[in-house]
Amino acid sequence: MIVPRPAASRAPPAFMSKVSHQMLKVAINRGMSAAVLIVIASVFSFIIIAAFPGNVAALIAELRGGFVSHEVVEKVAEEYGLNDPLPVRYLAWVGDVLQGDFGHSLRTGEEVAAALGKRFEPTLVLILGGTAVTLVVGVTLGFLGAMWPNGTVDRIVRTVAVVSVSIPKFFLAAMLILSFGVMMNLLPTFGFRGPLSWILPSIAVGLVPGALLSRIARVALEETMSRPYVVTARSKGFGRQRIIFRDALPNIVPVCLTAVGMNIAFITQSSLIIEPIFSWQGVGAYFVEAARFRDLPVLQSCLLLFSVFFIIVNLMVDLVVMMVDPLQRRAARA
Amino acid sequence: MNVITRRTLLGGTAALGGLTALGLGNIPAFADEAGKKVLRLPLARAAGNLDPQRYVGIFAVQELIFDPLVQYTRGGVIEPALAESWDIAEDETSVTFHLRPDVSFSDGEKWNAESMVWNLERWLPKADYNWLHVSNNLDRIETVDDMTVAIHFTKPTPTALTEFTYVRPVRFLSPKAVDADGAYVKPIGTGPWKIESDAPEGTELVPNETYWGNRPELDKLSLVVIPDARSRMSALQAGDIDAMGGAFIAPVAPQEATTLKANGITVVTDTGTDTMLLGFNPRIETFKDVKVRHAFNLLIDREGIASVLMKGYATPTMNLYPEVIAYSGTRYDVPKRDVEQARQLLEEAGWTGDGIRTRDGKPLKVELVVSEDAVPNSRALGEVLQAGFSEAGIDLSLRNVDHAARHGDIPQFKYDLSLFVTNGAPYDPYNTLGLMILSTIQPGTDGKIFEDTEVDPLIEAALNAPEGARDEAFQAVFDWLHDNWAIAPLYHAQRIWAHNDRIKAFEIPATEYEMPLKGLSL
Repeated sequence: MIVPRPAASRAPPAFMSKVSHQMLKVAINRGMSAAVLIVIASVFSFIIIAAFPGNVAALIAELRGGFVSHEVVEKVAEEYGLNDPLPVRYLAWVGDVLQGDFGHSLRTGEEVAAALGKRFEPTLVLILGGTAVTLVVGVTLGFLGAMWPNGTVDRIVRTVAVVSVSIPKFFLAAMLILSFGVMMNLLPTFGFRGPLSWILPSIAVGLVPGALLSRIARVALEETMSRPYVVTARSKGFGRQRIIFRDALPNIVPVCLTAVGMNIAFITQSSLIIEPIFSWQGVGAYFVEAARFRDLPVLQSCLLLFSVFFIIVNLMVDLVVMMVDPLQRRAARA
Repeated sequence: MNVITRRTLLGGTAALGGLTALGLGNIPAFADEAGKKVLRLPLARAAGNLDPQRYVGIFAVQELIFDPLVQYTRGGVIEPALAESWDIAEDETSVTFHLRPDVSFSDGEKWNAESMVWNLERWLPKADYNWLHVSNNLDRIETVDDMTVAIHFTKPTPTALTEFTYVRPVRFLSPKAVDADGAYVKPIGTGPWKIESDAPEGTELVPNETYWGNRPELDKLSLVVIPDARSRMSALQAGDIDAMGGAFIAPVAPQEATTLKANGITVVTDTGTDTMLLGFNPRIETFKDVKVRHAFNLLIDREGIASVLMKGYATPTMNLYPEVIAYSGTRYDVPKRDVEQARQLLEEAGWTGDGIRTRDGKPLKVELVVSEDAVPNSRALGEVLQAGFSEAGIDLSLRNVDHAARHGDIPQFKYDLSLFVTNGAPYDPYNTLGLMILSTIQPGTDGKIFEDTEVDPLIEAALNAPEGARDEAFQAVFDWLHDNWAIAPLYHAQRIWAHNDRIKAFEIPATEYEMPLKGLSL
């Protein structure tokens, strides 16, 4: 029987504004700690890169032209302020970054901000594609395992998960290229040119986190299935499938979201390995290339970008989890 | 105040994700190239800034766009290019170039004495380019007439013609391809190709329809950036690219060549123009003793290195230069590895004892700087040398550094032993001797392979010797280095290219700074 809803429920109930207020407070708190983290990250990303061994001035001088003598190297070091004390260099750098000036690549002379802009797209696709693969693989395998716990499927899923976690990413990528690109000739072996070329890299970065997520989902479901409300549902005569999808699924969303949030960090880090293998000119490949040439402004900018990205993703995951999880919402209110 | 509910949030996120995916789905794939003759070659890194006076871009791409006055061909033979002919003064203090008529840059600018001198003024008189004899010895540039230019030097400069074949900084840019301040803007040359598009993913070139020489028979040259060697191999096997190779283009290592061959890919090789050698730090006491250098030389299994480590893609040697380099001298016998004699030499040099040898209480410990980035294969090579030296009581340790660290340490002589590669064609026989052995020149980022004031006059004599006396003068240098065991040459690596069946004819170019397009047909 369909019961018409009372008109009052269309307008937000009175407590909702209080909830949003509470959440705003939490969000501001988290935002402030994120800002502190970003400052710490900027100090580290500067110091780590600046402390690299090797003579950067010699490299710059060599790229500028000709035969490089000791005097030329000294002149270059002076010009780029490479002889200044670290704190002075750090402050100068932060000052520029705050004004949106990430400096120029030492190697190509290109503006770092512009170069990063050009290389943003492949990395974004890799992160989105990898996350999609993670979700599909993780949730599917997790559910399959939970549907028939300790059965053949669960065992196979568990084995697949353990094996995938143990495979190095570069090896997985090479095997994917070899089988789908070279032997079957179904997908492009390299390049960033349209959706077909996105498939293999997304699998290469998403499979391992997917396997991890499947274990998390499987364990969370198992735990949920032992809750009193599940017992109640069972006593009402509902089937396992219905209980898993209708009752257990919404309850594992926060756990899965947190895991996916962590995995975004993992995938971003994988871009350093996967992008060069698939010849994607993304931020990861740019970082690797810059590392070889001690391209300090590029390295520092990439590292800062990665840190800020991690912090923001984590902040967003926290907030989203808070929104979708009634328990946390209530906790925030209390 | 309304709040976002769970449902709208999840729905909104999904919709946003979908829209993003759709938007990104519109990225243009490689243009449809049906019916066109397109050659696809890989680059290990992006072509970069192609300014002919800067040292940033990929040589082989600059080479496609910018022509030289004279062209270097196999064995150091010089052929006409933008200069139709030339006269060299008897005393070699000047060269007069007669320019090729009816040549224009791909933007329509005329090639003549004016555009040539405009280009030369950009680098020839500047101190930054003093590593070239033509720049160091420059007296003045004289415009004789509209199509004739003479370059005068302060002293005999027999290397002039060879230096004018180099890719950078000597090639010619359109005078219109710069901004109001004269700074480089875009790559416009007189060469057979012009840039159609250039991005971090790759560079596309199309034939320059105004080119003065034979037009390429290809419709397009697509250079795609594939930094990873294994990915290049997969791409070649899958038919996504047509060939790979070239030390500075998309190198193929000996092991990779073996794998490709086993998979039915054609592997083409040619005698290398450079030499891998082990250099003794000439400024440390241990290596000032010729007996020690002799002993180290005898402990190297050159045959083994060439056949096992290099999979046969190398020729063992005791010469500074391979035979393909002009004036490279007579071939020396490659000594068999002789541990007994090496031990004896070390004893005579005062390094005695069981286990690690000592002299005056100091153990015979040496450090070899290896850098996979700067000298490919150097780590494996270092390990082979380490095993070989330990048999005679030498404790060799390896210090693995990257490109930047090597560039810092080597010129400052912060090493005991290091691996070096000679400059190869077209720079040798002049550059390696003149920059990496002659002690009066400051060490550049590549450092010094060896230095000794005794050999300096011989090198000076060779570099300045007139044609006819050059063979003998260079031989004297090589003999001195050989007799004094000054260097430890290891091998001349072969130049390797691999290509698929789409390519019907293939020829490895004269230098590592060119694309293999001459003699290539699809």
